[in-house]
Amino acid sequence: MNSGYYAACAGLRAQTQALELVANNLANLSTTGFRGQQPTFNSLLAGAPDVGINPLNHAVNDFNVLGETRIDQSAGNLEQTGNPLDLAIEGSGFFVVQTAAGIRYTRNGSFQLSAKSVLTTQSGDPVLGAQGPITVPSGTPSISADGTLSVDGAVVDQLRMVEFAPNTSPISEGASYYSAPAVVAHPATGSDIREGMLESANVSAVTATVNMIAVQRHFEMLQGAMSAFYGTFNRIAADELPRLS
Amino acid sequence: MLRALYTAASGMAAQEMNLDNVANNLANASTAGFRSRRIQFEDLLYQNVLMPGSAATQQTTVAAGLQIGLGTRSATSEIVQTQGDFSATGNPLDLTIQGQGFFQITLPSGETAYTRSGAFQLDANGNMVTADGNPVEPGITIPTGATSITIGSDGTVSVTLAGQIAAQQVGVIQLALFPNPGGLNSVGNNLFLPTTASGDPVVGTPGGSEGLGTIEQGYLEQSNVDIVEEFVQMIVAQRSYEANSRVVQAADEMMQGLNNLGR
Repeated sequence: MNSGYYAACAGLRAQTQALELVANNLANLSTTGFRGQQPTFNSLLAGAPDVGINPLNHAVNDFNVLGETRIDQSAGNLEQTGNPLDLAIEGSGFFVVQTAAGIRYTRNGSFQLSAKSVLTTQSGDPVLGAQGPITVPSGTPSISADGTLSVDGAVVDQLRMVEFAPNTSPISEGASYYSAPAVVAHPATGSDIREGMLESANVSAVTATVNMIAVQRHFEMLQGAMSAFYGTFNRIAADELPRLS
Repeated sequence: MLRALYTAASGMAAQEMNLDNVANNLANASTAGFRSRRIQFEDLLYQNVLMPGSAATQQTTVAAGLQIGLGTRSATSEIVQTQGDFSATGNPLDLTIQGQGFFQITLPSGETAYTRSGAFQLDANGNMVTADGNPVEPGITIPTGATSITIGSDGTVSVTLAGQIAAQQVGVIQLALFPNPGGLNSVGNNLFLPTTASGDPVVGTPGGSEGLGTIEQGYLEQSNVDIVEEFVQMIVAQRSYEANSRVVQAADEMMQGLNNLGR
């Protein structure tokens, strides 16, 4: 049996996972602050192209293992909401949130005040400022581009914002939260807060749909390859080769 | 593959709820004092096939890992707190609040409810009541024979009686302010009830420094539904729903192909 059969099999598995990624990106088209995930494929046999293998093996080998998922760090659209506690980040920064499980990061700036007037996320976890959780006195809050929160002109605190080093990818935790080792996150330098706006998901429906079609066609191609290895090659080996001798 | 089916289904369910919300906002576009709601979605859990930061070799770690998300869910629908448009009615008992305060209303059960709708009327006894007949709190009674009613921006209600020149004060309208008005509980009939999320109301006279706002007589606050935004949201819901149903179709076809493999 040709090893390409198993390569195609692994490829089908990888494309299935790729479809699951596309499905998740499309399902979250309306999720505030959502970051799309991008798949990276590895070839099954490292360095295989140098070996004189046939084109079919080559094609099958190229998209075989879903190596990793990376978070797409491009910016989503900013939507105007008018709520003073709806915040969007322009730049690659993240808000810092204290959850029961530890520090988490989020791009979803749809904040609110708890019954005790603490600034929280929609899940009720406090948003951290320079001095920890922020208690907002009554009055009209306003937040400037650098995250300074003031009520009726009096400065209360400054919202913490962090950025991640290039080539590091925070871990998706669900509920718009991300986690990362503390060493990777450093205070934001190139990010600005926009008040009264929310960032929509950075998933492009067009790109995601095109990716889905590509996944479908790859899948079909691998199916075709599998039938070729399984059917044609076996038939030649089993039926026609003996007849030649 | 089945994961993709369920993930897409979660996206379709979320967009359905999005459309339900748009429908309610649009249906109430002409409801005075109505506050539109906006649904917030969040991503579900992630399946960690390969955990980021795990060791790839003894010296190196996996930079990004392999995480597969399992879809979306609607998390909250918050009340949008923008001010609605004012329309002049000329009716002396039509009031608007220019600010974040709420009128207080006493329900038949004795509970206090809160509303932005200031379309008040007088009942048979001269009490100031809402269209449903629930009195304003604190109660204000307009004496019979009053020829004009004046309500100042600070909520002072004064009337001029027939045959008298000087106006006399009959009460003061008080407003309530919530630490988190987005967390109020909508109970229909333009009324809101406080919750632990909204916090306890701070009651005061209008025009103060607490941000309650001032009262304008002879105007009604229209709903704060932004028709253009609702239509955009409706199109987004429709198209996202379609995109998710395409994923279901794709997963179905791929699975069908697999089942037919080797025939």
